[in-house]
Amino acid sequence: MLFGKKNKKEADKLEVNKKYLKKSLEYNIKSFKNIFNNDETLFVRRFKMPTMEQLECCIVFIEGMIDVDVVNRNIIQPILKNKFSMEYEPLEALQNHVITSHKIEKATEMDPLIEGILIGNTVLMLEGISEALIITTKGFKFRDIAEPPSEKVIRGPREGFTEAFMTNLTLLRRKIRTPKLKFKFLTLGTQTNTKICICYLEGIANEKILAEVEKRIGNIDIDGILDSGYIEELIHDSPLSPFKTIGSSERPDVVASRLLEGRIAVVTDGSPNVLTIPFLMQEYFQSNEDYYSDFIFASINRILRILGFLITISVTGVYVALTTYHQEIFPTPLVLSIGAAREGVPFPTVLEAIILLFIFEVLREASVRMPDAIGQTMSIVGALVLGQAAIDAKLFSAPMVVIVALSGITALIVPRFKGAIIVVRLLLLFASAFLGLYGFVFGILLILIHLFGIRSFGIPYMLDYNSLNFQDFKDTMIRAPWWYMRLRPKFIAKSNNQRQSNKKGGGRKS
Amino acid sequence: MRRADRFLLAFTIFVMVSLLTGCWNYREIESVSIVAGAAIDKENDEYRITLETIDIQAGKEANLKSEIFEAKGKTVFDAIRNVIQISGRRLYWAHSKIVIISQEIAEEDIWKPLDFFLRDGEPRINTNVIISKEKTAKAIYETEKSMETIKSLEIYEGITNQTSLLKAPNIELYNFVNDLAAKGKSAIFPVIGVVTNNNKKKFQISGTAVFKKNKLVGFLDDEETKLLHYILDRAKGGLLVGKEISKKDEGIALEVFEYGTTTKIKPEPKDDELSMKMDVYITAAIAENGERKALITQEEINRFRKEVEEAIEENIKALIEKVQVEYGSDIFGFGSAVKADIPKTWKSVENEWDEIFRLLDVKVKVHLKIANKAKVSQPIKIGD
Repeated sequence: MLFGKKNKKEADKLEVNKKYLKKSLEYNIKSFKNIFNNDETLFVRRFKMPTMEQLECCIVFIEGMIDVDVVNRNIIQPILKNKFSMEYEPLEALQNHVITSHKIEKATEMDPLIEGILIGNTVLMLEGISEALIITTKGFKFRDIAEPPSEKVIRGPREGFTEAFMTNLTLLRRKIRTPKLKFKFLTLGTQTNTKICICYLEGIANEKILAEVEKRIGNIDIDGILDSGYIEELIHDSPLSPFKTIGSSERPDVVASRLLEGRIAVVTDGSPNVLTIPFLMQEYFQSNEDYYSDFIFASINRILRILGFLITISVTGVYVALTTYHQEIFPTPLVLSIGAAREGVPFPTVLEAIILLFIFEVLREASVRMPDAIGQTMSIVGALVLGQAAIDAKLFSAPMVVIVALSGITALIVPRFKGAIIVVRLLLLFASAFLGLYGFVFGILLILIHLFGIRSFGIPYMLDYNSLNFQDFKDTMIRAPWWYMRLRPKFIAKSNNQRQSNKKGGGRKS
Repeated sequence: MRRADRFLLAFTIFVMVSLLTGCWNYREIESVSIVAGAAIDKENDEYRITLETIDIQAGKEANLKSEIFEAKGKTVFDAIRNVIQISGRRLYWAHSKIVIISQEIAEEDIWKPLDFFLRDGEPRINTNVIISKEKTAKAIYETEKSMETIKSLEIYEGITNQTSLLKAPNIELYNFVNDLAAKGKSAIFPVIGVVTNNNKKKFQISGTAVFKKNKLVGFLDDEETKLLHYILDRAKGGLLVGKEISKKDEGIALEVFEYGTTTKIKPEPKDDELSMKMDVYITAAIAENGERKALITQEEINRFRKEVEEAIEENIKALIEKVQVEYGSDIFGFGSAVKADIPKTWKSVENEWDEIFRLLDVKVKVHLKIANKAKVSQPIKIGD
């Protein structure tokens, strides 16, 4: 089956490859129209040069994909107004003397012509010549560069990637102006023909990881890539793990900083999310703002995030374990007030926790999907009806609502975890409900074994967390000051580790 | 490892983890009766236990009410289980604060009722055990309640607040067990009684119950208990006042500080004779000087200090003598001091320590340091 499919595809390609332009303009136009059968966005414009009436010209493009001004001013106008006699070979003459465009290519096969038209270029053909020019005229509308709403900062650059491929690459190039920044292009998706770019810094990025990335991306065989998420899921390690092993960011400064650390970036056409490889556990807790604000504040924030993560996964489990197995651990007044709040509540504590967590997740998901106009309704329903009224009606106990709210709020400190938090939280909740603190500890062990077991493109996921060397500590639990971070993270940047020169206090003086 | 093997291994571990864990004790917090305290009496060869549980009443504002249950049994645990007949709910002991034991049981054998509280998983080893001076221990629960609605918590507060009073020792179960098991030290417990205050029957925590081995042999009163705290190095505050610090019984009060107040006991073997040397260091401030005693110059202060030191020395000596003669129970831990300092000597005296203790010579030296005179440096001169 698989074999047959592949054969057929190759046959398809051959058929297209076989097609070359003919000398007859009429025939060429017809073959274009055949290929774009039933596609009325294809536009063909025919005209004649004033000096050579017999030489008919024709431009082919797709409406909406081109910049109309460019086509009018730089192609049609010069051709119609030129006064040269046909001393030269006409196509050469047009390319070298008439058309004012920065990029013109010649082609004789149909394949590159069609591709050119599809990405917004204009094809110019002449009567009696079996060659054509592909003139770059791309000019479609795309979103302006703006601050990505998912990664807002108070301090730091505010530009974000857009859906436009070249703009995104420009944004990266503008951050790192060195010829060592390499961009390797690929096309993925048998139907969408999406452009992919693998970016890396030569001499810093680890070649082995680069080779692995290229190999895995090369193995992708899918009909369409609509977002970088497709690629992420197709190539990442431990596919069933709730934890991400490939990073993504909408900010050029974040991607640039990861490139400088020796990571590899994958830019996908049509997606503002740029993938960075490899991705380690510690990156969940890092924010680009950490590196722009002073290191004390940044370290406090980072510790807060780690604490937030620990609280959000464990607080419901610990609460259930303590109130149903280890009541002796509370101070007496606390056990009495929890007992008083629980009095009359029909559900067991575990069920209470699960229902409330479910409601919280429903509210969270609803608030992302709903139109802004009905946002108020939801906050009223969520806060008043579900919160206050449910306690008054003795459906849930107040401490449980507090615990679930705490768990929900702290999850928002580390929004990048997404599904991982929900899965881990539930796992710990079930383990605690089943075996008390004993089960909770087993759940934690299970998660730690998993985290220490997985790798991202060959790099241990929990890199530096089990190290006792202070240099390794510099960017995990805290953000060390810049003058201390002289080295790039180990393993990731293998060949060129030095980040700052070893001159004493060099960084501080300037 | 094959995939199936791996799965089997994981499954086996999961089953073992969940089944080999001992007690399965899932219980909802509101389904248990939380015991606050208990009183144990003996009646016709049976133990009678009087329990106070905390009854949570749900409502807009949670109400805590105490409920008293009573049951009899062949042993204490038997009696406790019998309570379920009346209460309907399982009792939960982990938050129990106090156990009151009647004098009668204490004189016979205190360990019989206490064994359960040390052995069982739920009761804490820092439960406060108190000896009732009344006829029964139950009588304490028949007194009137004051501010707090749970009597046991009230008594517990009373015991823990003794640190600024020192009129009853704050002895928790494990202290007692340690002393009981130790060689060269006898155990004590605080004492509780009933008094009439403002025409209401109230409990009063005062004094010390002195044990010899596992039997109650006598009591020490308030003042003696206070001095006992200094000997045991448990004094963490409190006042020294009146006869305790002067023969003339002046109206001067000293407030003792926790820091700089300590006691050191050292055995001094001389030839064949064993004697103890006790240094009591007290740091205190003058808290009251109603006599308007002149305490300005260094000389005056030194004279006053000497007086106080002598008075305390004498009082401590009198207390030690009383215990030696009347009870013969080494509650001061002289024996364990000997054991720690000169273990060789201890081995030779271990068996006849009872006799040696009764005749032991103790040299007491008090070192008082007057830290300050609070806010008033000079005595007030009364004008016309």
